[in-house]
Parts: sequence; C-alpha cells; structure tokens
Amino acid sequence: MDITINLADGVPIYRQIVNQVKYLVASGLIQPGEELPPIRTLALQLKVTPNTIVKAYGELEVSCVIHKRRGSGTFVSEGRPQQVTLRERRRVIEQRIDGLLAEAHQLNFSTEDILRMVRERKTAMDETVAEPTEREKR
Amino acid sequence: MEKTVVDVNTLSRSFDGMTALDTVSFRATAGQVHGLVGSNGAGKTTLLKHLLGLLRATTGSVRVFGLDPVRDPVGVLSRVGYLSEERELPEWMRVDELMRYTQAFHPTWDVSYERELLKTFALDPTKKVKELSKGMRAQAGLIAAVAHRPELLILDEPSSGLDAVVRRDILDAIVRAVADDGRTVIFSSHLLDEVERMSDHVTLMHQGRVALSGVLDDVRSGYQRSRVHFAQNFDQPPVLDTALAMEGGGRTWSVVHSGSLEQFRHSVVARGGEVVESRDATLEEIFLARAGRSGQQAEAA
Amino acid sequence: MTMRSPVVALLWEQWQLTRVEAAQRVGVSIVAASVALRLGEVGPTVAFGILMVLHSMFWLSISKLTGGRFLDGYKPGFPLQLLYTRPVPTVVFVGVAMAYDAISCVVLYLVSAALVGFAFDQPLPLFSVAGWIVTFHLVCTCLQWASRNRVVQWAGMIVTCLPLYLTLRNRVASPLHVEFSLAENVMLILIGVVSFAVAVAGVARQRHGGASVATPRTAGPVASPEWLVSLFSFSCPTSSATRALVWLELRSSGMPVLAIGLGLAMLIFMLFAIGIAIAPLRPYAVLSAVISVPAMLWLFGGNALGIRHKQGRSYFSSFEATQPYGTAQLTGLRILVRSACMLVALIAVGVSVWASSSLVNEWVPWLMNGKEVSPGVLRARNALVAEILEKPGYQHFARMVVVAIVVALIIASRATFTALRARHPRRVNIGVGSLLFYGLALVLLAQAEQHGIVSTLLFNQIQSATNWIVAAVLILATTYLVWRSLAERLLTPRQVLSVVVMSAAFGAACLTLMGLPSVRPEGFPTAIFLERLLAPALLALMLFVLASWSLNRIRHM
Repeated sequence: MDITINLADGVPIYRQIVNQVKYLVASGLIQPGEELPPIRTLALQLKVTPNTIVKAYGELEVSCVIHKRRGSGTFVSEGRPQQVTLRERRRVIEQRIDGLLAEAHQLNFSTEDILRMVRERKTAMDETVAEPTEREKR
Repeated sequence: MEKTVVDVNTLSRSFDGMTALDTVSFRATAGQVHGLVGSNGAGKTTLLKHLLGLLRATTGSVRVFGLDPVRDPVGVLSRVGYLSEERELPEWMRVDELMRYTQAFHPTWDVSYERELLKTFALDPTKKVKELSKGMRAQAGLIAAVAHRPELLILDEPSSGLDAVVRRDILDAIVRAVADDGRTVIFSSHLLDEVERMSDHVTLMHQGRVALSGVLDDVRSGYQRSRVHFAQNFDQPPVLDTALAMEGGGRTWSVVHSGSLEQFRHSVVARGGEVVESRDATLEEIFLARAGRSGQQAEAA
Repeated sequence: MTMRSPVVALLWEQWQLTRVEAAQRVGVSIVAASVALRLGEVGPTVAFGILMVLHSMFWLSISKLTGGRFLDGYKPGFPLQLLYTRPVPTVVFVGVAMAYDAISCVVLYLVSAALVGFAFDQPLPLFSVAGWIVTFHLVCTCLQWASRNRVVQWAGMIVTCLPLYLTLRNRVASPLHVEFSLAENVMLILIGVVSFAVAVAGVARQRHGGASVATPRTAGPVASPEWLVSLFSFSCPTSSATRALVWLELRSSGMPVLAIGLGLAMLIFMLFAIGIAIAPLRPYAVLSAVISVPAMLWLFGGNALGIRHKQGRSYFSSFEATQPYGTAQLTGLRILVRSACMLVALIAVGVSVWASSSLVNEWVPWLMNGKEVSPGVLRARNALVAEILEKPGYQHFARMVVVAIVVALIIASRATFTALRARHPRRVNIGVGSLLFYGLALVLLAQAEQHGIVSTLLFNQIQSATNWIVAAVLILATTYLVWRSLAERLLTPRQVLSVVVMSAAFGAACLTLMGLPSVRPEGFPTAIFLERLLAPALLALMLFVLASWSLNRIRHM
C-alpha cells in the first residue's frame, strides 16, 4: 500500500494515514474487498509505532471505510464509504481560503480581483483537461 | 484501566551538588511506546538508570512492575531488556558466546528470533566483540536485549552515532516489540523525527524537570506554528500573547504558540498584522521553543 | 591562570595527575620504613629496601600522562594521540615527562628517607642513590614508551633492570651506606642519556605514524593478556544463570590465574633444576620460590568483583549490573571462583617449591658462596617435614581450612577495597590516610618509649586502648552491616546463617591451630578463648558481609 508520512505537515500521523487510505479507496486504487496490510507490517513499513496504525484503522472502521473480519484480517468495505464529514471538508478548504485572503491582502488584491482570478483559473484548467480528449478523438 | 509498568514519583537526584533530576514524575503504561526527549544533560539517562536500579532513588520512589529495582533487582531485570549508550560488552567474548551467556539469564529466550536477527543484521557469530564496529556492537546489544522478548524494553539513545541502516534495525525492533501483545518500550533520543514517528507518549525534559508530558498527538495539537505578516517592520520580535518562540525578521515572522488560536489571532491583529497560515507544530518546533535558547519568554505552565 | 609556555602546561598536567599518588607514596613509605626501623639490626637495610621499592616504581608520571600501568590508558590524562598533535617538538614533551618522572621520584625518596632517618636517628643513604634512581626511571620510561611490543618491553626490562639492581645490591655495604665509584656514576649517566635518546626516537616514530600508539583502554578484573583468555575457550552453559556466571568468571580471570600458577610452578622447578648446573642462577631460583606466593596474591588476587577502570573512572559495568542476578550471590560466586582458582594455583606452586627444595640437595657439593639462603631452604624443608610427622591429623585439617579461608579473605578484602574506593574515593582515602597516620603515631610512640621520653605505662595503656577500640569497631561494624543487609534485603536470613557458620568454622580452626589455653575453662570463656575464636570469626563475618555490601553500593549508585 502506497502511503507516505510527512512529519512537517502539522497533521497527526494517524490522520495522514486515514486520509491517504480514504483517497486510495475513493480513487479506486484499492478495490472493495481487498485486504489491507496487518498492523505490524504497515508499522514496520512506515516506521511508526503500531498504536498509530491501530488508531488509524480504528477511525477508518468507525467511518465504515474498512472492516475487520475476525481471524482473517482487515478488508475494504463494499459500497460507497461514508463521506468525510462536511465539517472536516469545510475546515480544510477554509484554512486554504484564509491563507489565500491574507496573501492577497498583502499583495494588494481586492476580494473581487480574487474571485475573478479564481474563475479565470478554473476556465484555464478545464481547457487543459479538455484538450487531450479532443486530441484522442482525432 | 491500563496497567502501569513504570511509576516514578517525585524523583530527585543530584551529583556533586549539581541537580540532575528535580522532582520528576513519570508513568509508563503497558503496550505503549514512550519517548523521552531533551537536550544533553536534561536528565534522560539519569532517569532511565533509576529504572534499572543503576542509580538508587535518594528522594522519591521508583517502581517497575510494582517492584523496587534496587531491593529486587532480579524480579525487575529478568523482565527488562536494556540497550545502553556505552554498550559495555566484554571485549573478549564472541557474539555467539554473548548470546548463550545472556540466554542463561532469561528462560524466555527465543532462539529462532535470535537466529533471524543475526541473519538480518549479517553479524558473524564467531567474531569477538572487540573486532566489531560501533554499529555492529549496537546490533549485538540489541539482539541480546530483545531476543528474550522482555515485557519492558529500555533504550538509552539507541541511535546515537549510528548509521541509517542500524537505526532502521533498531526502529524495527521497537515496532515488533510493541506489536507483540502488551510489551512496553521506553526510549530516549535526540532525533526528534524518530521520536515523533515512534512514540505514543512523549515526555520532554529540560534541566532535570519534566517540561511537558502526554500523548503525542495531544501534545502536538496544543501547539501551533503560524506565519504572521505585519504592516510595519519590527527589529525585535514583537510581544504576542501565548507566543513561545519567534523567528524571522522585518515584517514576516514565524511563531510557535500554545493555547487558543483565537487569542493569538487577536493579539496579532492588535499589533497590526494578520495570520497567514497556521498548523500544528512539529515536535522539533515544540522542543526548540520549550528547551531552546531562542525562546521569547519563560514557558507558560 | 595563564600558562606562559607549553613546558609549564605539561608540567602542570603532570602535577595534577600525580599529586595524590605522590602523597600516598610518601605516606605509605614513611610509615612502612618507620615500622621497619624498629626491627633492630636489620632494620635500616629493610627500611632502605622498602623506600627504594616504593619510589622506584615508574608508573608515576609517564603512565599517568597517557594512561596507566604500562601506558595502556587505565588512568586519566590526555591520550597520547592528542599529545602528539600538539605544536611542541617531540624532544620537549618527552624530555619534560621523563625529567618530571625521574626528578619527582628522587625528591620523594629524599624527603621520605631524610624524615625517617632524622626521626629515628638512623641516617639512610641519600644523594648517593639519587643518580641510580634517576637512571632507573629513565630506563623504565624509555622502555614503556618507545615501544609497544610486549616482548621488547619485557626483554628490555630484564636486560636492563636486572644489572642495575645487581649493581645497587653490590654497592650496599653495612653499616648501611651506598657508594658508587666514579666509573659507575659515569656509566649511569651514559645509560640515562642513551635511554632518553632512544625514547625520543621511538616516540618520534610513533608520532609520525611509523609505529602504533598506546590508546586508552578499559582495565577489567585481571590484567591478563588477551591471548591467554582466548586460549581456554569452552562453550557457555545455558541451563542456569549461576553456571553461566561461573563460566564468565573462569574465562575472564579464573583460567588465566590457573595457567599462570601452573606456568610459575614449572618455571620454579626448572630454575632449581638448571641451578644444579649453573650456580649463579641459584639465588634467582630461591628468590622466585620465595616471592612466588606473595606475587601471585598481589598480582592476581585483586579486583575479584570486576570493577572496571577507564581513564581515571572506576565503575561497575552496566552490562553486568543489569543482569538479573542477586548482588549477594554474585559477590559470593566471584570470590569463591577466584579463591578456588587461586588456591589451586598456589597449591601447584607449593608442590613445585616442595619438589624443587629436594633438588637443593644436589646443590650442596657446588655450594661455595657463603650465602645462607640455600641451606635456609633445606632447613625450612626439614622443619616442615618434622612438623607434618609430629602434629596430629586434625591440626593439618584445621591448617588447610585456615589457609583456604585466609586466601578467600584476602581476595574478598582486596575486592571490597577496590569497590569501596570506586564508590567513595574521598572517604576511602581519608580513612586509609588516618589509619596510616595512627600507625605512624604508634610507631613513633614506641620509639619514644624506648628512648624513655614516654613512660612505659602510658604506652601500654595506649596499646590496650587501641585493642579495645579495634574490638569495639569490629563488633559494631559487623552488627551494623548485618542488620542493614537484612533490612535492605541485600542478604536473606539463610545467606547470613551460612556466612555465620563459615566464619564460626574459621574461628574454630584458628583456635585449634593456636592451641587451647592450658587451663580448660569450666564452661566460662576466658579472654584468650574469645580472642582466638571470636576475633577471627568476627573478622571473617565482617569481611564477607562487607564484600556484598560494597558491591551493592557500586551496583546501585
């Protein structure tokens, strides 16, 4: 399982693991029903204390992303995983927006400028995504 | 209720008038990894030596598995594995003789685990201790400490002066010790990223006192690091509420602060600045703020 | 404090490292010489001998400079590698070190000899010997420093020091005075200069990488060479901790002691055998027979508890301290194993001396020198044979018990002393110093009493007071130690009981040997009975309990 830990991130290690597992599941890199590595193995791989893995797996189990089958191991749950709570998602984005607003203020951009720039960037990103599909069609 | 493996109560110790430990209290629960951090001379080794009975508690009490390590050395030491900084092994002994010798003291010795570790570390059993390099000695000492599957593993600066390969071996041993049921690990280290990865509980010692102690994630969430922009230039770090350490210059400063984010933000705004970015502080930043020399003010309680 | 030049700095370091030992040497030599001077006629010669031995020991400064005995780094000081990187010419630091060593020892000798001679009105040779001492020190220092090859060192010592010693002996005349002829003085100076030059050359070679340098090492229980320890390799038993510890003891010190004992036994016999043909060798054969037992006890009977010394620090290895084994059992085991090995070695040496003494009969036809030692050996042998035939069997048994336990007590007390000195160096130094001082005072009082300055009555009172004090201290110390050991769970009641039984056996054996008082007491112990039974028993008890107490103190600091 491809997980990396970044200590300078400011995010607790178990949360990084939780987020990355959720991402792997959501993006289909881990299929439902697939087995996750046992706690010991993952702890050895990541060089973290096993209790952190225990915590991470515990949280994943609470949010029904994974489930433990007695005696067999830990597996990814069938069906769509419960969404990360709205509050958590808002919190991540709000942090980014606060940073963006402060920077903008320092660099003398108004809020209207920012909103306009956000839309411009979105359009540009959509175009670059659309181009390869156009090339594929030809 | 979790079982308390180590219970140290208001332990004080001084050497030749110099205080090494000042009313230190420390508790280790079973099945957890306890990291001990502190600058040189903070008292980590002194504390660990008390747990093994190498030092006698003059004031305060030390109990390991509920026993006094000085009065009952056999009861405590038979369940403890110890890897020390000095690694004082007899020079003339061969590695295999060392293993056999240590095995005689611990009936719970696991020969297959010992062989597996010897193979992993690629240690030649017929070599004498004096022919081993520093890293190999650490490996041999580690095998002797963990092969009997002790309930408590005490590692004093296990990674000091060792290369990355040996360090990895030691971390692996810690992980395996804890992953097996109910085993406890206490280790002291200078390498804060190691402590951050490997500890469940962390205790920071400074000048013989416990500066902070608690579950690692809780400790980290109690401190934040923020980037702050000010409207005006400051030559000296501006005084801010709950700030512990400040770095930077001019208009941009990086601040480590504890307590409420709102309180800090108020204080920043009051001085004409704004908080650009904020995240949980890393253990290294907390350590430098609490125990380093660039601290802005005396530590808050 | 600024040191204006490197020479001053080097001298300062030497002084700092050697001052305590210098004080100890002066103290011990004065007391020992004073005691010797009361021995009547032979007194002055013995005193002179003692002083020379104490102040000719070259391990004063040079060894401290780097390290310790034979420059292997047991004592503090800058390691040699560091010294060699200083911006000082080789000649300078070698010269300073050797000069300090030689001159300081001469000064110490002169001071002690002058004091003792003056106090007892028996002038001892002073400046005439000074040159010899200087040369001796220069030679020894050169040998120890210039080469690290043990063979070279030992061979060099034998080749140079033996003739020097013989020269001195030949010049000692009675009444006690020493005189070297002019030629001999010139020779001594020449030897000194040559050794200085050789030392400089050897050190220069080491400095520039041509030869290996002595590095600080840890000194363990017995300073036996590494190859000897590796010689007796047998596998470690894993069935029990006790057996593993016995294995450790045997490997690290027991087997080497046995081997050395056997080697010495064979050497003595060989020397006596060769002495049949080569007459000049005979005095050395006898010398080796006489000093073999004390030498074994001195060199290999110390530090049974395994205190380590490294660069001035004495400590108990944490590897051994963290083994799950009781302190009292560890003490008992170590002392037992060392005593057993020592006893076997001593028995081997004893048998060899016995067998060799029968060879002395072969010497008689060639005995032309008027030396009394050879017939002395014969006389001793005959007396011993007579005694064996005379005394009853149980006396022999008592003698064997006494000898065995005395060896164990010597080893135990030396081990305890090392452990206590490692734990409380200042207190031990003060204690030993006060004892020496008291001994000196007693000796001076005896001298004064002989000259009539002090009345005999007062002296006797002081003597008996001393006896009472010693007895009281012994009883109090034993009681305190036993009580504390039981209170701290250091000793179990069973262990105390077994030690008491052993001590009682020792006391009984001593009593048997020294003979019961002629008047059999009717159930009421007389003072002599108490003294001959209780004193040894109490002493043995105290020493054994003190041994485990001292290990406990250094294991749990």
